[in-house]
Amino acid sequence: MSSHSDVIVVGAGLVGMFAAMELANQGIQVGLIDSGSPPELLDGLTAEILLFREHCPGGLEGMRVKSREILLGFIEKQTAGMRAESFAELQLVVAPADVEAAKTDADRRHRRGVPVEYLSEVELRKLDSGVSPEVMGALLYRDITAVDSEALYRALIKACESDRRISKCWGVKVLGINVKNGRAVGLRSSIGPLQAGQILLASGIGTMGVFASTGVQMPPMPEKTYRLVSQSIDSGPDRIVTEYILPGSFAYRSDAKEDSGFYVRLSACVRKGQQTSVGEAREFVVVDNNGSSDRAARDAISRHFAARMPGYEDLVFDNLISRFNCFIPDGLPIVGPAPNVEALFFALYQRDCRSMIGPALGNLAARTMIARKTLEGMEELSPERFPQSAPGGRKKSFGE
Amino acid sequence: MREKRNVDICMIGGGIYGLVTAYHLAKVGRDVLVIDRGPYGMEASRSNAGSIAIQNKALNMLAETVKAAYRWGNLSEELGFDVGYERRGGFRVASSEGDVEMLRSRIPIQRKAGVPVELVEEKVIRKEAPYLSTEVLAAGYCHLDGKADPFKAVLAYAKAFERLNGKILTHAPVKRLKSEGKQVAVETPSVSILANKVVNTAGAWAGLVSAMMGVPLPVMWALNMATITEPGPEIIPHIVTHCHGNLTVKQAKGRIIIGGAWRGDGDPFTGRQQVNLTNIRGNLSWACTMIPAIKGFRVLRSWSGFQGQSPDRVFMMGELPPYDGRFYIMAAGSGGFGLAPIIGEQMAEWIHKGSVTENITDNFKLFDVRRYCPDESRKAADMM
Repeated sequence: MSSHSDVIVVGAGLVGMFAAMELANQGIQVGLIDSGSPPELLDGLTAEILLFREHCPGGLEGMRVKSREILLGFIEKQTAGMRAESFAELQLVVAPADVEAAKTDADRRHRRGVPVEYLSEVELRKLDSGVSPEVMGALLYRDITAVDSEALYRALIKACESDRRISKCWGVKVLGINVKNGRAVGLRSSIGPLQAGQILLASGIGTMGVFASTGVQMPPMPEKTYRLVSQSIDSGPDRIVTEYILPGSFAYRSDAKEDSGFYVRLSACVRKGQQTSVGEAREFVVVDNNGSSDRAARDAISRHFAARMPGYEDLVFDNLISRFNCFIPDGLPIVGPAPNVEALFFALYQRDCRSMIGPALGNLAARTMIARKTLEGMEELSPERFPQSAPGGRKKSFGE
Repeated sequence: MREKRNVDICMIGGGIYGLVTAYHLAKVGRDVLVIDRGPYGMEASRSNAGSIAIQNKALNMLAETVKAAYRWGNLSEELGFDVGYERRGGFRVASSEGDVEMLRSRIPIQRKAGVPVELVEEKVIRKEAPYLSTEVLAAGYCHLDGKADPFKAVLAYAKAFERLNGKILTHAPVKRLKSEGKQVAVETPSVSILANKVVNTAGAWAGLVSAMMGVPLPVMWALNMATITEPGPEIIPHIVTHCHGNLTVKQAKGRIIIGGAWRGDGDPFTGRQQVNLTNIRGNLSWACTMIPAIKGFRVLRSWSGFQGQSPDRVFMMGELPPYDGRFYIMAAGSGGFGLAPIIGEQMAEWIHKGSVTENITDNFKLFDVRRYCPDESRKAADMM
């Protein structure tokens, strides 16, 4: 990698790679760096299915639709082994208080042309006898676009590596940002200084340790996500089973927090002849936490799964996978120019079991960098929504 | 097997807020345990530059700031240990016409809130503070501005707390918070604590701890830095701050202490922290521009520490959902060190009474953490 690029993208995740590709498409020379190597990037993606649906609590519908579009466009260009699948999804309505809301929700969406219906308790049991009798009903979506996470990453890495306008550098740790006269001019990294016209930080929670000295302040925090993966199953309905979340509610409500201390959600993708990921547990921990919570997380997920889907008791759990995610307290992604520092951009979001917005976010970050400012209509996602004023009420200049 | 402990109140975070609140709770006879991820008081509480200045504080917290300035004056006596407080009088300097205008516009607001502050013209400055650069065009002067020794202050509260049989457990980072009936289990690698009440005083980590409590609050964090020089001739009898907010200077035992919230490198989640030399240079060059006489002093060391901050720079204090008398927070304000003695005491009073919601007074409504709690923000997130 040359020591000067038009743009350096930090972080080869979904956001970073889609951003790099979009920038390269616009004829920009991109440097893409990550602290891991391609095999490390693929680590922990076993049996992870990324859902691309447009109907999700939490809004951002435009971004969700766009994500699916970009994904399908990307897949079309791939030559081998990569396809999007269509799944049926059952969203279980667990709380009696949510039944009416779920019915109204299904009705409203159905009228808008979304292939969804509300299943009563009886209909649900007829469709899937493995679901607990305590579940009140379910929303059935007939057509959810889903893609295998590992296959997608593999294809993305390959696409980035074969693009001449993207110079890749794996295993690079970013230590800080050099700022001159209020403008980001490059990075301090484990392989020495790297200069760039613009910098995009898309390295998730790893980003947090990079920008502190620029004076920018933001509230994301790390959360550790655990997924429990079962061994392959011989038969199965090829279906995704999740829990219905009230529109507008946070992913983390105190009622989603179990007494075990974890936030647990059912998020099972049952596929014939495939390993199955059955649920997620999340906890907030500092990054240097060693694996001592693994056992508790495994228990919490399997307990939760057994309570919702007792009919699947013969599943044998094989593997607990964990990784650190970035949690943003207001639930919205952070994408756009850094406050107070020119030429520095952020693209952060929290990954959850609801839907994938990574591709659209990467694309949006790239377009924002080309425009050099927050795009119209995207103000609520901008890093500038976090006030940065100094004690005297004035903006402070750093690095002068 | 992990050691088990049963306590009435567990403070998570042994910074100055944790210790002040713990001290006042112990004083009314509560059984309090303070736990910290490292040695106590190591981050914002000890790494700040020790200004107990009033003029550089946010305008919406002035009343409390003035009260705190008087309180610091008697603190060594109250605690029985020295906190290193001296009331010096402070100049808040302006070095451009725009700055002077800003000072001029703030002073009536400050005076209205009871801050004894006046605008001093250039002529008077030359006479009263000849060490200030000729670039200083005017300054606000407040005789209540002072300084404390952050190291001593933290230690004084810790000792006073321990004298009341309070216990401090160091090197005990919280791994998980769990409900255990009507109590809360606080799990650390070495000890498992069962508490009736848990108070989040975790500073830069307050967001993370609040998330463990079930309510992820938007706590931003920063790495504050400060610098101290070798001793030299006594030239600065006052506290000097710049109205841009990026400089504080004072002299103690001949050493110049320079701060101003310039930022270091690192993040609280990995714990990595490092002084950022570019920013230290920026900080020192501001100091030398405003007070040319300190150019001859040699820097002894610079240091950094994590501090937490709410998005609106106002404290987050109060009780957290589900409001059942178990979860409290006291965190993340601007100018927190100076305000600690009175705000921590107020928090202790509420915790002792049980309910914050019922007892909160008008002048503290602004600080109420409920402004960030999900019930309110949930509506905002609903964009469907």
